Amino acid sequence: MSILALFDIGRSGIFANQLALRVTSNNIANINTPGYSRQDAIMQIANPIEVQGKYIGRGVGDVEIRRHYDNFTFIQIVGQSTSYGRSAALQSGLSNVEQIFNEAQDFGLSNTMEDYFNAWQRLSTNPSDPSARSELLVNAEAFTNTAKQIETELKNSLKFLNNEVDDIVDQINVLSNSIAEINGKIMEVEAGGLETANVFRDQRERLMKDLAEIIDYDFNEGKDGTVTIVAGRKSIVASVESFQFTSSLTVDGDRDIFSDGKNITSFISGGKLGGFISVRDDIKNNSLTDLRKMVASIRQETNAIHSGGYDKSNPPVNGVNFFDALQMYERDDTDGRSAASISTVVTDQSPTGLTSLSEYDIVFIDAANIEVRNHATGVVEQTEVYASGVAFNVNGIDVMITGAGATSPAAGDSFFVSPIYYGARDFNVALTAGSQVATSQDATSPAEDNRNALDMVTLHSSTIANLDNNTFNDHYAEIVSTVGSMNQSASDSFEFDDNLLFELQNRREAMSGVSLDEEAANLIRFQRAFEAGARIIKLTDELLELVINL
Amino acid sequence: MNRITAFMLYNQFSKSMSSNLSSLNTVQQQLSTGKQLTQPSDDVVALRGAMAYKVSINNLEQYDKNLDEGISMLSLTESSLSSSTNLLNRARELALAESNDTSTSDTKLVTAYEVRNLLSEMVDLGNTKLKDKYIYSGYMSKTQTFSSTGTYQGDSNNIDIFIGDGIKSRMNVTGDVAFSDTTKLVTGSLPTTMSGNIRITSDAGTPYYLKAGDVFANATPEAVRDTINAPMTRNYLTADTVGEGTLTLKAGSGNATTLQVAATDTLTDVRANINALNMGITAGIFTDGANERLFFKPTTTGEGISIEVSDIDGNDIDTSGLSELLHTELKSNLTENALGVEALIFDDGTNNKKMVMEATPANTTFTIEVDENDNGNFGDPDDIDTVTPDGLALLYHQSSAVSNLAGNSISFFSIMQHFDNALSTNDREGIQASILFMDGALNSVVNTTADVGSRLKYFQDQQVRLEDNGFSFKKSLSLLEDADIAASAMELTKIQTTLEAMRIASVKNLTQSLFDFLG
Repeated sequence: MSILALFDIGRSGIFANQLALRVTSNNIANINTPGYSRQDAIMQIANPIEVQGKYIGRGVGDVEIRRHYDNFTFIQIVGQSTSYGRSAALQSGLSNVEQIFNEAQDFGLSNTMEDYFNAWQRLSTNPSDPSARSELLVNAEAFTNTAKQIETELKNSLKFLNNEVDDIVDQINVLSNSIAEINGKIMEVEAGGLETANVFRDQRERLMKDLAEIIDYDFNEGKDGTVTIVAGRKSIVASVESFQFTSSLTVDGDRDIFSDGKNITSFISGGKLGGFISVRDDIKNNSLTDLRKMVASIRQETNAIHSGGYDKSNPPVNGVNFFDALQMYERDDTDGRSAASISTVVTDQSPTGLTSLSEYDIVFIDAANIEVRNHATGVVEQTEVYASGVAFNVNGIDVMITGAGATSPAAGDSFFVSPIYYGARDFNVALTAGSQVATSQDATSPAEDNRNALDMVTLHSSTIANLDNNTFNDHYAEIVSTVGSMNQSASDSFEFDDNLLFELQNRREAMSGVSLDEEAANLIRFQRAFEAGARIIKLTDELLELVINL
Repeated sequence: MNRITAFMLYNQFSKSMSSNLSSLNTVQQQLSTGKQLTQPSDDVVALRGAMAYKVSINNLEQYDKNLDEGISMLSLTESSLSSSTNLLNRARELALAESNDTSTSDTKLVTAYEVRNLLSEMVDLGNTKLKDKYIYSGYMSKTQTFSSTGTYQGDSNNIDIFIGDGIKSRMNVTGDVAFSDTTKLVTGSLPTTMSGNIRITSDAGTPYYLKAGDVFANATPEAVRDTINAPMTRNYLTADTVGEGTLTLKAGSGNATTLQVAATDTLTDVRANINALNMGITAGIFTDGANERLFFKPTTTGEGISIEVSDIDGNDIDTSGLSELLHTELKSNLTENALGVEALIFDDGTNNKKMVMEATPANTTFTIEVDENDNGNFGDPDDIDTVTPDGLALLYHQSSAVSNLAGNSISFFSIMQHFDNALSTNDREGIQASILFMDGALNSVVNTTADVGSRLKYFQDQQVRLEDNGFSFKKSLSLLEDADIAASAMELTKIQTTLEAMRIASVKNLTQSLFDFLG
């Protein structure tokens, strides 16, 4: 064996430890990089050679750079991120709505409603006092404004949530794109099975964790190292290709998610996207609908009593509404594709005429038969045989669908009819002067006749058939406490999910995180090894010199 | 053993820090607002309770204001009613003084002057106002309650207000009730003469008919009154002949007169014979449905009459023969008003005669049926005449439901005017009628005052009750939504201590690294 072999051994030590120092330095440099998994330089003995019948090592061989990583933890983190994203979205959306119904701090609708009914009481004790009349109108207006404001804020929340949905769809598209791209790189690096694409995998895992936070998905890794991701029953990443989601507005004003032209909104339940969609539906189906229903009911009941009384005009007038009359809302729910048209009329808006404040879907099960379904419950309330231009009555609403020949309705055509859709939007005091307030039930309207006002006061504590036999106060308290308990449970699950995710990240950190102490020790270790290697070369040099000088 | 990296320490620290800071924020908010319920999700059940309590408290406060309104109304009513009691008492004193024999037309004229003043004072009381509202006008509070002549111009509606959950209560008394006596039954203005037959039934009594021709053929109101008031005798003679014997009749201080009754004399003969004597007793015949009966009354109202019998059958007190005339009931009823009704005529101040009727004895009831054309039928339209009664039908009185008298309450002002009128015309009966009315009026105003007083008391009690309820509601609300300041302050200290410890620990731990020790 040649003395020169010592050079090789020394050199292999220097190179290997230099590489290890680079890995260590890289670890230190990336200590704060999210998603980074610490790496180790794993040194291997170089294959020994036979010298004089003995096998002698030739120094350090290949150095493998290994990434500390646990796939099971990663899968858990992906799953938990989805729950976390949903909880976070629910909590932020609902606490926003909760602020709108700010009953705990006395700024909510309840107060102005009390003031309004109290104004009726004051008027009932002093029906001849013009100031009590104008006070009632002022209070009524404050009441209507607060209700309208709450509705507007709820609609703004919905708008905000729809914008979020739109943003998230963009994010999903960016992420799926990037993941597909990285898939390609990993496939390239790992082709041949020799190298592991450590850095790209770290990057991809980070992206997948980000994606998990905004949408629920299933994934699996192929043999070539690429992942396939399926979300909303559509694959969004397959090998190096990605498929985009789009979002667009539907007839009812919501932003829904489409893939390949199909509405997949209902298939998305997790992540922020699932959370926001869920909050949106909660607000629409509970808070907003219930608020509109309550306001519509107040308008209906108040007007019924008020129009039965006589005001202070000369001569006294009766049959006048206190609030604006309810306005019907109807729309073609098949995205305007139905050839037929719909119109609705309510001839008697009083609670005895309009006997329900439900919303309905009028659905053509075929060209001749109609089902009237309760919009909230989906229950079929009545069935009708279609006749163009002939009205049928649904709990006081005369519904008329017109279309014959070319404009005939087809199976699947659906119309939405609601007596409460504009319930809060059009909540206005119809009267313009205090003298128009009908306090009397006598055609001569004597000054102190307060019977109509007393009836109005009684209304305050009456159970209302159209509100499921709740009083106005009960119904409103129900709205607020529903939002409250939804937010309460969202907060609880957010806290739970947050903690769980934190624990999982700690677990990942324990495995993959960089420890400065460890790296400092490694630095010294590799530095010393490097120095020792150098010394071997120096020693070899001295030996050679000695030999040469012989 | 788990690997611990610096990053984990950082994470743990920042997470604990933020959770502690958020607790600090909560406590801080509780301490600064004094409320532990700052948003619905803090405690949904408590929030619902709190909302319900707030509604109740809010309502109670409004009921309290309503009660204030009611109490000021009722207090004013009470005090004006007590003034009107004083006025009536004074008027009654005057009437008593002027009804005795010593009063002359001169004293009456002087008194009349005072009565006129009392009347205008009474009108002022009736027009009492509270904040621009006539309190006695019912719903028509902007209309002066009584005209200067005492005509009621309001309505009879009760004003209800809410004084509790679902509790409506009346806060007014209308002038037609407060300033009227409804206990007296008064006719409309009577015509100068009336004809027909009336049937009067007293409480638990038998109906008595006064036969046409006997009493009311173009009779003056006074004649009708006298007939109603006169003490009458009754008997039960049912046969065509009354039985043989002698009657000794005496009226007032006149001399006794004897009358022979022959065996063949019928009831009609006896009546004719007695009336022919013209000695102070008038006889008449009435039927009680089945039987004809003879009755006597003094020709001069107020005189006592006596009748003695000498029966041919030898027994002067049994119920057979002529002595049936003197049967027990007859004797005992001789000086009583057999009809159970007492009538007085007064001038209502507009030269209209009206009759006021009272049940005797008090607290009994009576019915007057009328047969104007004497056809034996007491239910003809003409006899009831409730729409525009005239003639005898003015006296028609079945019950309070069907009556030409009921509802004809007499206002205090009318009473004063009658009194004034009676004084001015030196009409003693009118003054007596006035006393009768004033008694009723005083009764009525005492009743009204009692009603108003108890209502006032009820309102005041209710206000106290509401205050109590409000207090307990507020206490319950406070338990639900108010922060426990002491507990919050303790919590604050705890969190602060934790934060401080965390900061110290983190400064010591997080800054250390092996690099610090490498030379």
